[in-house]
Amino acid sequence: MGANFLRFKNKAFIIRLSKSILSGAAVGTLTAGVLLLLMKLMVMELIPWIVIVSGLGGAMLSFGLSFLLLGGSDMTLARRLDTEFSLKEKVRTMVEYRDGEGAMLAIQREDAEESLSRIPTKSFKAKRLWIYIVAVCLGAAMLLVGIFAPDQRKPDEDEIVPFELSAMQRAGINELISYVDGSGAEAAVKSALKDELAKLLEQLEDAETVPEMQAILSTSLTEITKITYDSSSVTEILTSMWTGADALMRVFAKSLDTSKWDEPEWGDFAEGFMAFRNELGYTGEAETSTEDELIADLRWKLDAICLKTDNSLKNSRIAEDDKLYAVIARFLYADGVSSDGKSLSGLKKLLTSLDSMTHAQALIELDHTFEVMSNEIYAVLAELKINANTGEYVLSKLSVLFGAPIPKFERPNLKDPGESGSNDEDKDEDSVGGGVGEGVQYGSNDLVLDPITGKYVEYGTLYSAYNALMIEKLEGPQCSYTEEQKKAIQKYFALLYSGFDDED
Amino acid sequence: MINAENNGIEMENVKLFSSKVESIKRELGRDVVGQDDIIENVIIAIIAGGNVLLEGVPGVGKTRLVRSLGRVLSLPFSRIQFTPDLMPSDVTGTNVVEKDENGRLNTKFKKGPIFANLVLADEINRATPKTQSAMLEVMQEHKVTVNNVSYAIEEPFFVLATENPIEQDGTYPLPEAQMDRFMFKLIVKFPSVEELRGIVKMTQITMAETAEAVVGGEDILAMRRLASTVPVAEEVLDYTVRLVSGTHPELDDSPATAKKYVKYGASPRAAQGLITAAKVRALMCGRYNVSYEDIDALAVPVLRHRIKISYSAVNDKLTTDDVIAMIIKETKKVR
Repeated sequence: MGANFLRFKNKAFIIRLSKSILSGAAVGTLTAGVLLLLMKLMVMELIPWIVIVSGLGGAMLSFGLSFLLLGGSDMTLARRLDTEFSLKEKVRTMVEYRDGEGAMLAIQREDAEESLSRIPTKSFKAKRLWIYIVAVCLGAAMLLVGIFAPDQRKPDEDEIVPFELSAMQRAGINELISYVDGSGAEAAVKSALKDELAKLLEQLEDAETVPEMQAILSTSLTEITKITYDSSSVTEILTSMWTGADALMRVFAKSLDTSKWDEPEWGDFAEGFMAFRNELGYTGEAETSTEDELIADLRWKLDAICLKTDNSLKNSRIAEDDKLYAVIARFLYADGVSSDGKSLSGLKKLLTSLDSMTHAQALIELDHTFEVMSNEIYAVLAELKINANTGEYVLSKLSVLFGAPIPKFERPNLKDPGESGSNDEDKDEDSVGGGVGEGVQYGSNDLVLDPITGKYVEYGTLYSAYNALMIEKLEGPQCSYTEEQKKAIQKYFALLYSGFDDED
Repeated sequence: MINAENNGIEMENVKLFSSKVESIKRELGRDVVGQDDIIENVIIAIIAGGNVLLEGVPGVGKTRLVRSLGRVLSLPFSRIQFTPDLMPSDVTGTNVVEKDENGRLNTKFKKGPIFANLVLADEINRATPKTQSAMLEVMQEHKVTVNNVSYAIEEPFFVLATENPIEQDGTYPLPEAQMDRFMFKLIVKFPSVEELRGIVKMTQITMAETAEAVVGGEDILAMRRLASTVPVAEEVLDYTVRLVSGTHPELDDSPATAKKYVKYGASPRAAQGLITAAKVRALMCGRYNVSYEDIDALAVPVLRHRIKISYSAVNDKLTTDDVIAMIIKETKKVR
């Protein structure tokens, strides 16, 4: 074969090789990019090296296939040369008779070679090369998308994710310490909480990995819960009181349920406690009953309530030095003087004194006991509730700062047997006291606890203050949130005002 | 430039081929004004060893072209004027009774005018089919058989026939078998105004042909041998075969045009003739291989007298040439 034909043959080989390489690169990058994207979007679970191997495999396969498919015979090349350069079948005739002998064939070969010699090699161009280039660009784009797409996967458990306390988190914990300091919680609780938060800050400063941070945070959240969580005694005592309770016992238990204090004013507890008092002293047929019958009825009620309350306290397995335990025990067993200097008889003492009293005197004593004890019990409950609210705020704030789940504040589920309908069966027991949207929906005039001041203010006032603060922060120059995040925050505030529904 | 050192005599022959063709064209041009394509095709047919049928109205120079060609080729030339009363023996010759020196009567074959190298069969379609058929053997096999004795005709041998369009009065259509013996059928058109002016000017000087002999019979045979060595690529050969078989409407893979407009197609002689003529044309064009272009250029003169168009074509006002052009176009699509 002549030198000129070989010249074009070499050019054709270079074109074939180039196209094969481009094809391999296109398929390889496309494969790797798609797999990477699918992996990051969690459509497929793949190991990163599988992506690399797949990309390389795809590239090699495509290169090989392209090299095979694009490879043509000498006759194919001859046809193309004849067609593209209007050589009137000279080249294909030359190729076909390349092994032929004879003067005419020799002349024909020389003629074909001479015709080819007049054609510059650069005139022989790669056909449809742009398709391959576009394919490579698409593949590269897909690979870049795959590389830079946000990773939706959860970090590998074995993977060590570094942690560094951010300035915002540091400031957040310091704000919490200030908040606790200014809250209405008990001094001991305040002190313990502040110490715990300071300790948390110190430990987090030293934490180097996310698992380490999570462990520290988890320990700290548990500790804060222990410090502030009133339900540890309220829940246990009320649950114990509720178990097997009769109507009278349920009235008593309900009056102690702080979680039902939608308006934590004296009135709610007082009303509940007074209802209990009334139930205790109520005699259905007082006008027709004799003195002995009335005393007997009161004795029976006092005896029953004392026995059940005493059993409930013991069954609750709460330590006797627990405040709520102590004050309820005092309600039963007090025999002495109250804080205001008045003599005080607990229900048990009252029960033992009934023989020496008329029914009317007994009721007066009972009223006195209720009057004194209601103050003492409310003081304990209110204190516990403020402690709990403070703890709840601290926990939720920490949860937001570090993305940790909020520990559930278990509330007693006190319901009369008659109240439990079929709907209750559908309710998740775990939902008691937890989750956004399950709480109370406040009216704008309702009083709520301001987590910063620790005082009760109108919900509308509190909302306005926080809404204004939110707008100021979002529109401020230092705001680093994206537009989507801003919209989400604004929507959340709007929902706080208008109320959540199921969809929200 | 082609390196001729190693190809020796062959290269010399190639050069001679071109120069001789140019000489023939030049000399013919002295007697015939215009008609370049007709002249070229006639030269191709003569070198390829084919017979030519020239069709045209009277007076367009058919006979003059052939007479002039006889002069240029320097070959024994005879002219047969075909008339309705012309007998086959008037063409081929016949046995005559002669007395020898001893007074005994013997039969002797007296050769007819067909025994020449170049035969002008003038107005061949004015003879009866019987007489026309007398040309069959000689045109194909270059021999004449009388009373079971065959008489070979000296090579080279060509028949150049002229005919008037069959629409003219007193003409007989040539039988298909005879038509097939003609390599080309060339349509001699009425000259253009410019050509007519040249013809008139030329004939004012002299009516006689002035062309001179430039090649002889041996030259023609040498040129034919040279042309036969021109290579044909397999794909070009396939295309030729497809083109010819594409004129057959009865074949499954024939083009739609053939199925619609052709009544019957060309014989295998068409393909043979097409390739043979294409080789000559390639050499005349300075090429040493047959190209598609050669086939396309020669397809119409080779096929036009070998196929018969159907009534649908006539109804659609299509000529045979139109139908062939359509078949070429369809066949090109698959090459």
